[in-house]
Amino acid sequence: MLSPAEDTEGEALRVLVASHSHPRVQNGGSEVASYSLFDRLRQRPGLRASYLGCSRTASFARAGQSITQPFERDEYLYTVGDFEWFKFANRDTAFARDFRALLRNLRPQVVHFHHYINFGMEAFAHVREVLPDAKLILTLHEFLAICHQQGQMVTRHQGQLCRRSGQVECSRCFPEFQPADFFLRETYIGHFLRHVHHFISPSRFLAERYVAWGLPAERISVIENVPAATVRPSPARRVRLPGSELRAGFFGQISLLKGMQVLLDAAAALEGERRHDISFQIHGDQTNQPAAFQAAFLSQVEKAGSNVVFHGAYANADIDALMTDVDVVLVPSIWWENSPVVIQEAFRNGVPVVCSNIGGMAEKVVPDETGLHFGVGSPRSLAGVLKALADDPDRLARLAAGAARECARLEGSVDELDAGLAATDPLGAHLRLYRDLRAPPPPRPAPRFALSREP
Amino acid sequence: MSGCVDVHGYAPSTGSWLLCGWAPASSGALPGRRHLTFRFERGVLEGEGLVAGTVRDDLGTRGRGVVAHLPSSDQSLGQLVSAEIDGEAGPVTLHATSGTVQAEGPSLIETLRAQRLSPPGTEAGLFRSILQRPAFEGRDTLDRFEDQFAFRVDEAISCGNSGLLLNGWLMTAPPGLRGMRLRSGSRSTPIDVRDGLRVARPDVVAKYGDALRSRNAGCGFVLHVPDCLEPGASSYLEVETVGGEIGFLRLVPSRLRGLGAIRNVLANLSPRYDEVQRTFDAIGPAVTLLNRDRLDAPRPSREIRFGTPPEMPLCSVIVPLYGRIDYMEVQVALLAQGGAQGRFRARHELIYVVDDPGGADAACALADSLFRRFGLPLRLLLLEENMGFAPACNVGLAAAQGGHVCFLNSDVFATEPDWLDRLLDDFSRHPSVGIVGPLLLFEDGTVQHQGMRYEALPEFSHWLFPAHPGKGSRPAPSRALSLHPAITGACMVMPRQLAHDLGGFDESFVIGDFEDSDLCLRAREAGVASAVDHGVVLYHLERKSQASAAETWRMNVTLYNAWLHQGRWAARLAAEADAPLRDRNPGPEAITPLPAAQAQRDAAWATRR
Repeated sequence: MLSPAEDTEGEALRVLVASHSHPRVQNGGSEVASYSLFDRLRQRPGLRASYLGCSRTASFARAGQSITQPFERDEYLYTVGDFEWFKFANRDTAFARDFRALLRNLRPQVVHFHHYINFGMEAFAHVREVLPDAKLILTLHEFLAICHQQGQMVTRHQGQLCRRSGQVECSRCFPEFQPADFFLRETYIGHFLRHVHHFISPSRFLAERYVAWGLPAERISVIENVPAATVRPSPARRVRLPGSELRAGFFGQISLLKGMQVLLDAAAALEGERRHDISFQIHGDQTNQPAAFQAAFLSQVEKAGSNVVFHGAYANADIDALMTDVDVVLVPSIWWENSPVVIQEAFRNGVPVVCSNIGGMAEKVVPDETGLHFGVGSPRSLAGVLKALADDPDRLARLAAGAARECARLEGSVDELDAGLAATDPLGAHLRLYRDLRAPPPPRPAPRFALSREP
Repeated sequence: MSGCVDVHGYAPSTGSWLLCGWAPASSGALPGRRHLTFRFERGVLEGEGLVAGTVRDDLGTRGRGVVAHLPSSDQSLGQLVSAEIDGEAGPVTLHATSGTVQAEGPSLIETLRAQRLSPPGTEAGLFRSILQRPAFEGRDTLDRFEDQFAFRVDEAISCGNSGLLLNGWLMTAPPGLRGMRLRSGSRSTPIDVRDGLRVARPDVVAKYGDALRSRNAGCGFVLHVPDCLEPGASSYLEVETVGGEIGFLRLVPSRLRGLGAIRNVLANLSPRYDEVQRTFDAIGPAVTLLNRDRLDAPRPSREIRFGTPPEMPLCSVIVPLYGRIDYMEVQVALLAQGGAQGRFRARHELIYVVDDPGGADAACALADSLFRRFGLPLRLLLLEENMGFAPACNVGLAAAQGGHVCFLNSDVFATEPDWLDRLLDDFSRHPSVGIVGPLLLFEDGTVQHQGMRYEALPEFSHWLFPAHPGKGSRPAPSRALSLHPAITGACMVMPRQLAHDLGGFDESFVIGDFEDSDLCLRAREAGVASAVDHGVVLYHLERKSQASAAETWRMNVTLYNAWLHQGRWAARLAAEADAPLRDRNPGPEAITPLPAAQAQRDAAWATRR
């Protein structure tokens, strides 16, 4: 049997953080967010945190065991088997057995899921059945329950922003599925979401979309992702000298939805205007994108002017160093985004963000305080914003100071919570939620809910 | 006046009894088409035959020679006693004597061919050509008539004990054919494909139309020839042209059986309006035989159990599974709600009848996974052949342990945890109700089913078809129980004893249509009503299937079922068309009490648990 760390503190609050992946398997924003939460929790006295990640690409399973401990003592990894992606049903016969055994063994009082893919919707039922007293929390990361198009709420073929899902509308995006299939998808997903005591959304925008879809508003809190507890050296920050170029950095996956075409078109426009004082520094990986996109991207970069520099992929550990070399971070996504980690990363390096004016990214960047917005999908608008910024060095400095302030708020001080102060930082808000959920329930019965939206 | 028979016998190549003898010289003219009466040891044969004269030098003026041909398929009549020819001057009888020889086959033909026919003329020519008729030697010989007609039998399907169903086409250039016989061993059955069902065969017209100067698109036929096969014998068709020539077509026994055979036979029909009745009166009895043949076959099944259902379940939910195996995942997830303490698990049992041999492995794997995920005990009954809705339900019924049974389609989903218990409660509250179902909604919240009534459709010979009032509209806010002549089999609950007493669903209905209506109407004859409980809501997904020509046969299966239903119920439903068939949507108070005995029986069902 897998063993948790020895039980040293009888009174410790036992929390299991469950994530659809693991940063050592795949390094995406939500993996990092869930792992940061776990990492910060386990450093807290009076807390016993465990982490359950998933692996789909590489197998860490051992004969007869789907959940193993390949990395650390308090970290478990489920190797995903037969998974049904339309309604997130986990058909792997080993999972139910091994997950339930893990729950019985760890006896967490709080089970905090980041995501439901790879585990399957049924995981919530397992938790409630094995641990009837445990509190179940789910952090939502994108719109997968609402939208079959990779949870992006962008139409499948035209790439247009989608504002509302529906059986008929979804079937238009996916003619291979009939409206009845989307009814079943929603019924199945909704059936299991009922087990969740409380939802966390890293952005208000995402929360609103889920409430519009049918989740009860009183059971969703907007809490930002917990940033990693990084101890950063303070590398020398770049200070833009008057008259020198404005460096706009892009960090992350290079894809259509991340707005790469908008960026390249804006660069071409500025090159045409001979604005040599603005450059675009592209950091990221395009190699997992469709071949046609890769070819188009590389050829455009090749033909671009000297104001576009493609640096290639980077390691996550290098992000802080790379960001010290840019003046603004660009987030030109043409989908809604939830709470892009790159925005937090920019703030913690005191770099303001220029982003599209929609969804979760627009919510995270306050115009004229921590950055600027431009019209989504519009290279002209992006070029205009950058020109204005290049022409106004004082404004850039003000925004940089705002970004640094926002970083301090997000990293917060859990001491405030211990002192009974209202914690506004993400970790503090998480801890408070755990405490509130575990408090003796009010006399009225817990509300049941079903997806109540008109279909 | 009487003469003598010298030689006689039966010749398969001519399909007739032949004789050679002489008649008194005084008899009037004999050659020509004549009415003949042959008396045998074991019976009499009578009918129109052909008589020709022969030159008999041995007779001098005593008499004149004759030969006669009387078509018949009956070969087992024994010795000829006498033969009467209805001549121009009255009947002439030829008697068999001790010298009469009974010959057969080639030697008989040889003997007759040796005769010198006279006078030369029509009869002699005709008689000669009859004697020239070849015998079937196991080969098709129709090719040489290709300028006169083209004829194929695509399938010769065994139908009933000794019958055949011929699916083929015949395209003739005028003047065409004289006739056809289906031969099997010693049996010979005259057939006329024009008696069969005409079927459009544009493919045939495209290929042969020009050559045969015919645009007859309806050249296809489906012909049922009952009682024509000799056990163990091979069969062939003998085709005779107007010119008296004979060709043979071997009948290769079709491998098609059961549904495959029904599918083949119904594939090319598309009758509408008044043709529908005619068509199914013609083909219906044969389909009945094909279906019976299928159902008479043993139906092996095996059961795989996942977990242990309650020993005395209140209700057995029986779900036939075909095609969309994956629906089981959502259905079980919803039924299992409440986990180990769940309502369903403690009280009811769940039986899936996998009526889909190709999907059996997938169903087993999914059931295994579902049991591990949800812990809800499952009984999986695997059929080795696709049987259709009624037989699959009946297999489930035979295995059911519950006091009640609930027949549930695999695409019906229950989102409320206590739906079944509330439907079961209806039986104790309303003893006159024998079958109850929920309000069924589509995925968009509109009505899928809230009780059945009947509607005569002009497009289909005004037969009665089930209609579903309110379908596609928003449901009325009602929680009442309403009575209907019938409700859908997509979800129906009844006491198990009632289901047994009625013999389950009638399997004469092919694949899955009308048997729910039929069951409810039979229950009504037995004194109990069918009802919809509008307070219980389930979802029924009706997938829009892609219309394709390949599905024509499926439509015709529906029409076949409608034909059966029509024959059985139309008169009774029409008689009451005014009052009771109308939709009633009363509260429970509208339910009329039953006679005491019936009420007692109901109470017994209700308390069987």
